[in-house]
Amino acid sequence: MTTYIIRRLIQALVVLIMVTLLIFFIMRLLPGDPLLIYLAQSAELEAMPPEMLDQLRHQFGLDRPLMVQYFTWIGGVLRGDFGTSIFYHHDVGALMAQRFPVTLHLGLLALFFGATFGILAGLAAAVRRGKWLDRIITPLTYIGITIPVFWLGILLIYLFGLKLHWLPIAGYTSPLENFWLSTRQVIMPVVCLAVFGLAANARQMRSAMLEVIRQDYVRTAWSKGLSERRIIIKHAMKNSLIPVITLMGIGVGIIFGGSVLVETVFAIPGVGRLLVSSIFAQDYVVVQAITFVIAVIVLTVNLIVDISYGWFDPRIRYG
Amino acid sequence: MAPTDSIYMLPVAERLLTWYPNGDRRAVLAESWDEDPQNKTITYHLRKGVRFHDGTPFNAEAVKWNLEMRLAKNRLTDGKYVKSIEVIDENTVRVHVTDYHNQLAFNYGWQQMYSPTAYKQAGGGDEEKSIQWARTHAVGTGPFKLKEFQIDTVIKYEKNNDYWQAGKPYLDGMEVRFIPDIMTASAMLEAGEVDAWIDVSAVQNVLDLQDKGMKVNWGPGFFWAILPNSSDPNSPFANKKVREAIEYAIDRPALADMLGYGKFEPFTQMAPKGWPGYVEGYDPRPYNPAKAKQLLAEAGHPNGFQTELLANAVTSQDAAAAIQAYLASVDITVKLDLTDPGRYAAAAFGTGWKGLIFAASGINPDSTDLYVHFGPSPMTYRTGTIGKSPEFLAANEAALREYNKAEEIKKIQAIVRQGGEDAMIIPIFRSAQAMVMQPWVHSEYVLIHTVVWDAENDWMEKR
Repeated sequence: MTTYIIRRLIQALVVLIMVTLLIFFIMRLLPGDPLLIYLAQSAELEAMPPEMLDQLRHQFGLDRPLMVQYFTWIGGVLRGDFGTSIFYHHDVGALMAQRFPVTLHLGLLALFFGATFGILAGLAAAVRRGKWLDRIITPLTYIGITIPVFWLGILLIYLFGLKLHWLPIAGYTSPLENFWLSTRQVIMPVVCLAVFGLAANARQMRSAMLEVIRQDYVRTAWSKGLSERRIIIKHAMKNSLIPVITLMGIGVGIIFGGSVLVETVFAIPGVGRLLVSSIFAQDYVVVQAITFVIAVIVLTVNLIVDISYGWFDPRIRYG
Repeated sequence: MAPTDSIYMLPVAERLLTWYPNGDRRAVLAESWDEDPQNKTITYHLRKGVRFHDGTPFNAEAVKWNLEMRLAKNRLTDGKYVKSIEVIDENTVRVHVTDYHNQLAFNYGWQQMYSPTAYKQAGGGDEEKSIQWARTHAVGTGPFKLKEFQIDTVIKYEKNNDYWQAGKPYLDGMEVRFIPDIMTASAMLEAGEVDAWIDVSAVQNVLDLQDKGMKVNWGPGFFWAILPNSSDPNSPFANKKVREAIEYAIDRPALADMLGYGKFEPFTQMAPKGWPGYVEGYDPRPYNPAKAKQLLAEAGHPNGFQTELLANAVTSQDAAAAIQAYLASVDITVKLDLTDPGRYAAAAFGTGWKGLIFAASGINPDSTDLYVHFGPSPMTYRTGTIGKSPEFLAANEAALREYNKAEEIKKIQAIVRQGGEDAMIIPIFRSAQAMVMQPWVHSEYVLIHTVVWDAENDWMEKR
């Protein structure tokens, strides 16, 4: 097990280095100049002589060779210094510290609800295969995995915000500041973020469960006269969860991807929106830092998922 | 909200001078100002008894500090002319310059004033700390104090009870929330979650909300034009006849009507109607595709030619496609280069462009923008891609040195006419910029310009 974890950590490190190289150089391949974007959008251009551009370029180290810039950045990251945003002129670490908790708040809720309701729905559909419950759940999961998140967001806003006035249309409040308002504000964004995971988990759970309940040991359990509840929960469900757990690991990445759209539609000041603004502004420093942190999170979650397989299915052994 | 936040600091930090709606200069923190072109000085007489939000006095020393700070950071328009800034007395400050033209007094007076004491105290002597503090804090003299600032999210203001205009502001506070999606913003206004939606360029949404009973302030919008690469002798646009052909080939009234739902003003010259430089009835090249083809043939392109049009994909995709179609009708094959705002800005303001660019610039109520964007040493389109005739540059010089208002306007009109005669740029239309409000909200924001906001006059009826 220890050897396996060490091997996976080394693999994760290699992936992380590749991510840093890719994001660093791809951002710089984009045509455009982050300083000019900053100046053009700040109306500062009108007051700034051309030589000031060179001064700013030097200030952000953009006049140095690319490899020097890369290693300077990596060196900073290793020291916990993510640099200063070109567009916002703020410490990137501080910007991320403000934004990540918001995205994590929504993301964790979406993961929780996506997993809980997805597993339950898939379970119900499998156990009641071909019955009315299955005939409702299965088509809904098709819709869930295909519906565009931003479109769903607009529909929810129209229905629950604009027409029914049940929920606030946009914005974010910390639950520590105002729990009730915060809860009302996050309902629609969390639904949007959770819907794909919920549907995918349900579909995966249904198909895994259908396979497991045909296994000999389940048939044996039935023949022993155990109750349906005991067979499903104790014997079938745990083994059906492995592909679902894999899906949940992938779901973390999908949630970060979804947050880019959801946070824009619902005006939520999370890391997804910061990423969008920074990409448009070609703010290399912010994009690199956010991508790096997301990569670390996704790699860590997937490592945990891989390790957890052994608990869900003791037949799995790590070489 | 990010670097553009200076606009949202208008309720907090006031300027020495601003504009009246007709473009005349209006004193705010300055009571008056004297211009002395002979001795090359500008003297600002400051309003007495004004205090910053931190209780410190707004005086000549504070103005000197603010201007010098901008000079030191290279952030003062026409700062290159400043020789020295002299404090004459508590309420009088004089700027000595090395050369003089009629834009200087306004350019220096246009700066927002911040408390030097607050800035210095925040850093405790450490300049870097002060700079960091100033990124999210502002202490000015305005009708509202900055209560909270979250980048890209929200700005909260509270009433300045010691404001120098007695009885104002009328509102107890304001909150500006940044909503990136226009559908969401529109829904929030319609649902009554917000009182106003400021700085809106989505005309269709504005008209829809207007139909639903919302009030709308229509502001001056932006000046949209095709800028040719005419300084490159190898470019087809170096030939005036080709530029004229482009202008003849585009039906600007139809284009403006289609894109602006009746709210865009088609342009026939480098000035919108009502602007000081507007030349009544001047329309050198109305829509005439046959004439365009004739000019192209005379210019040695009887079968047209190929070129490219760079445009911002976020703001001008439809307009660029329409221009492409119009030019195709006179055999000019246009390859559209629809780009992200970053590459657009880099080309327009930094590196230049190959063929044509479809670009927007501001429309100030006075002549400032003409020089800022198209003058002899422009601040924005300064790449040198647009060729300018000696006559055009001379006309600019003459207008900049004129100190009689009536004569100045005539000379600005001469610039506009010369730009038209040269077909220097191809003006297309003025877009619309709006503020949409609930019926109970009263504000004049954006009517003059998005950079002028007298928030002390805003008020709301009780609901």
